[in-house]
Amino acid sequence: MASQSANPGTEAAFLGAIDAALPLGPEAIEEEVVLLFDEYRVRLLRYVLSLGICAQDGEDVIQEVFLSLFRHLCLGRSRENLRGWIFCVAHNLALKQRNKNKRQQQRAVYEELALEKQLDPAADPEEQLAINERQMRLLQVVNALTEADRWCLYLRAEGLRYREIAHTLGLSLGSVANSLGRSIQKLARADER
Amino acid sequence: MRDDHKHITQAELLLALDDELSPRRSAEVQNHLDACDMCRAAMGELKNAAGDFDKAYRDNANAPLHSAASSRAALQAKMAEMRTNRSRFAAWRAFISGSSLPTWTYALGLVVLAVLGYGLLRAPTPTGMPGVSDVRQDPIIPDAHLTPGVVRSVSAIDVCRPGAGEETRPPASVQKAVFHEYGMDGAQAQGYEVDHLITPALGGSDDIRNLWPESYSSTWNAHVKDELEDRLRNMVCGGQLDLTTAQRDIARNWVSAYKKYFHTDRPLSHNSDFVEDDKPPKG
Ligand SMILES: [Zn+2]
Repeated sequence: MASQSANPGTEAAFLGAIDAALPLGPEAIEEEVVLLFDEYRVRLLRYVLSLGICAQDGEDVIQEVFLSLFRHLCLGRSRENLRGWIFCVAHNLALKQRNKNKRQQQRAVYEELALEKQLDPAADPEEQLAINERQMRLLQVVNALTEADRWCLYLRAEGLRYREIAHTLGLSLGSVANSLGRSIQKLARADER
Repeated sequence: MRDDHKHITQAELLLALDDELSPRRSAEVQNHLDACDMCRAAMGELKNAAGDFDKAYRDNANAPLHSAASSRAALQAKMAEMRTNRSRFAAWRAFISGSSLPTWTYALGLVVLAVLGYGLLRAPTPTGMPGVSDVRQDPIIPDAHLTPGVVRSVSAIDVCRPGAGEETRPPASVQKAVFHEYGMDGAQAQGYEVDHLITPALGGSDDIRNLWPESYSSTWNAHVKDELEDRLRNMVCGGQLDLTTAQRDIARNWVSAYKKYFHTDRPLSHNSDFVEDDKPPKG
């Protein structure tokens, strides 16, 4: 934390920090970043696309997230809640990109259910249809939620703990729990016709 | 106090499902579930609904555009580039400082270093992604010369009117100017938001001298500052603090102000254990 409260940095400060990033040198950090990239790429990509940006922008956002992570670690910054940090940066970059694209009216990935999606060959057709109808109902419930409630659900689906969701979205833990509680109760009632 | 004999609320069942309860409460809930068919059934429904949603979410995600391998290679190339820039710089630094060469060589070296350094600082990388040049300390505390903080002439009564001083995003041109004065043009500005130093909710102005680029992701980030702003406004409107003091403290050093008004050394939202509260979520 002390390193963060100092004066505005310079090129040299960063280079010095890279030298001082012991016990891990930049090569080791690079390896670590690649490992994290492999672990989180698909989940992050899925999440940022669910925020309504296109796939190309999503790929760019992911690159930027991990470069930021590389710098973050080289500067010896906090490793606490790193997963929350990664999703937080991805979330904010994706929203920024989405604002930029607003004119192009990107359509949200989850607003429609692609029925022609590849079906599981193992399941019998009637069962598949039932799954799709149910998914459709669930997604309709989700689309009626506020955006923040949807984000909580998506992040939970990506396996984040509540404190990580809270960090990503800048909410309190209680707010995250309340949001998820409400939303999942609504989802549970989606079948009551 | 919770009563062991009462049924578990749906909200708490979900917390149990997600393993977000304290160990003690978790054990109590488990005991109840072992004995109560109704709650067990309710938990099963929540579990199904949540699981089915997770599946729907995953099934309907778009496939990645590129293979993992090509994206990984692109990332590795950029990181290597950042490292290489660093070694070039370090080599020059070593050359200059350890030099026994004549003065003119030294001077030439400085010129080359300056040019190289300038290139590093200013040249965009070929990919358009920010390179090593974008790295700087996050301006957690704004530069006192660029952003001393500016207020409108309003009283505590004005500030405490419901809905007064709603935070609005500065226009794009102003945001650009703020990033520019902080030397953070273009891609460097990603991950930052132009924020008011003294929030409009405490009478802060939209003047550029009250605006600075605030990081989303550092420990002392924009969300933490929001907590402080809420606290100060509540204190001002509750008559516990005068408006001028609140404005001065937040403008002088908002991190110190946070520590002072929350009696803590760390942002609360980052290290608090799970506490149930009934606040509706923001946004
Ligand atoms: Zn019960």
